[in-house]
Amino acid sequence: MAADIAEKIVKSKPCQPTGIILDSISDGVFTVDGNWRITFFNRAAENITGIRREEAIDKLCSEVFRSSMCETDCALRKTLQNGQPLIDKACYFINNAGVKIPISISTAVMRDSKGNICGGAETFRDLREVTVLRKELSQRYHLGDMVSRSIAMKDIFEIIPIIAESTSTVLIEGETGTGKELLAKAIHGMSNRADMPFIALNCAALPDTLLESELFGYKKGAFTGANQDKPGRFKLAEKGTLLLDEIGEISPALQIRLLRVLQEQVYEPLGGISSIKSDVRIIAATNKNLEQLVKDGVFREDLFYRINVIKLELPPLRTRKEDIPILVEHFINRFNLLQRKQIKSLSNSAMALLMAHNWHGNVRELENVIEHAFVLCQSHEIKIEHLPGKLSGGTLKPVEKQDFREALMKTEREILLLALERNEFNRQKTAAELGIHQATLYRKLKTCGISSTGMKQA
Amino acid sequence: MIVAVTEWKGRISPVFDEAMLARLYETCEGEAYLIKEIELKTMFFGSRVSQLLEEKVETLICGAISANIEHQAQLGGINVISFVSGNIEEIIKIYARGEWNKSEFAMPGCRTKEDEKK
Repeated sequence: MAADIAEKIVKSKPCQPTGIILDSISDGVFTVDGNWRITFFNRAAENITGIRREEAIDKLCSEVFRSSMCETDCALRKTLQNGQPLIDKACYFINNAGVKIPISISTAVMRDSKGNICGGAETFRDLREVTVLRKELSQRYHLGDMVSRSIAMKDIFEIIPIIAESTSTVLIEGETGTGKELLAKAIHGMSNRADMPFIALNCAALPDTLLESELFGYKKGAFTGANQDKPGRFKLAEKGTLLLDEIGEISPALQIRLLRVLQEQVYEPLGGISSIKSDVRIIAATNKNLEQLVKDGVFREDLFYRINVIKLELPPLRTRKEDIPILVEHFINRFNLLQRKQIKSLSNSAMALLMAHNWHGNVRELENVIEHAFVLCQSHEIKIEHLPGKLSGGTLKPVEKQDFREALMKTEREILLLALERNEFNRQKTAAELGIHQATLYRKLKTCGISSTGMKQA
Repeated sequence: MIVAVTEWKGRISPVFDEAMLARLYETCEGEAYLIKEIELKTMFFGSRVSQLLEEKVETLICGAISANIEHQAQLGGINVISFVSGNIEEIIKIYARGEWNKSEFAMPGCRTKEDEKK
């Protein structure tokens, strides 16, 4: 304990909490002296932590309580430093079995009859039941870390518990930012593998040779620099779940190796001489149409059928805009916790702007927009001026003096980009949609500084 | 052999999942030599274990640890001695000498019934 706090505490006269009363309540209560040693530990504290009173007394509170806040953000320390009680702060502690128990804690300063600080008291409430009840009540909207009220998502949420029970491979398709990894985590979290690891790997993030060693691991001496065995993701995910994101990006050679693991449940690490049995549930995710990739000859048909046992398609946010308000609320709650702010709502005009946006970056884009607003918002309500300029199009903000041609070109550029995106960068279709000749489109692209390299002509 | 010990105020950090710092020791012929201290990453799940694996850690001595992360570390080949509390210097010396007795440094509530009978 910091010396300044220790000095505040009168050592000669320890406080005596009313043990009988404190033993009769359902919240855990403990008190500490000036050296952070536990002086009292009630019956509920014993039940919640699984630690007997006689084992807790006189021990350092951080080593008994071992909560997520002890080292970095101790609530009791803050209270003893500034004299202010803390109420219902959410955190977790780890019990003897290694399980994280969600709790809320409150703290208070203890004073003797003369008003001198003689220690601190902490009460904590087991939130396991509350967490379960809260989930039950709002099941229609929540799945893991996902929230929704759209029918399309509700159908997915309802089928997930059944999918989670099986061991079949799952393929999740959806645009970037729709929450493929969250859905995979939810499947894992509801399965009987929930206590085992969930490992994710983005197949597009690594070159082929690295991806192979990352997936299957390697043995010491397999190549220069392989000074010791390194486990691959398959081993790290043993008895758990492995998410292979952007599966459509893997090379034909690696597709064959992956197919073997899926068919025979065995693999060999690089440089290994014997096969390793694997017990891993595979969830594959992609933002591409795998069926089309099979038709194009880029993705193996046999691997596709192995992966495509259960297919889930996550709809883009623009087709389920009814989810925007609930997602906004979800992100506001989260960022309030993370950034210790107290933003309560979003103004009607700001919400209208969000509802009108096309959300090509999906839920992730919305999350980024709210995070952006959190940085700028200093009040309790997010307003239009706190949103990124691309949403308000710059027209709703105070407009500074600007060149007319420049403003015109900016608008034209945005129209062109959106039309190109809608038509998958096909110049003929884009020109047709805009009602202009292809040559005119080409000229305008050039004027606006949009490169036409790689675009389809027809 | 490289031993990692998560540290907070000279003692074993109470929760590995939230620990900020790990000391890395090389143990050799009954002695422990401090090699370096590393700041543990908190960005994403699994990164702590990956960090330890990158540092070629073979044994981890830590406080409370969630089962998921402990399992990951074990699968990575790390011998995890968890739910340990006490002064780091004392613990690492005893460990290096091969006189390690877990019950002596077990966190409150983590001693087995057999330990308590002794």
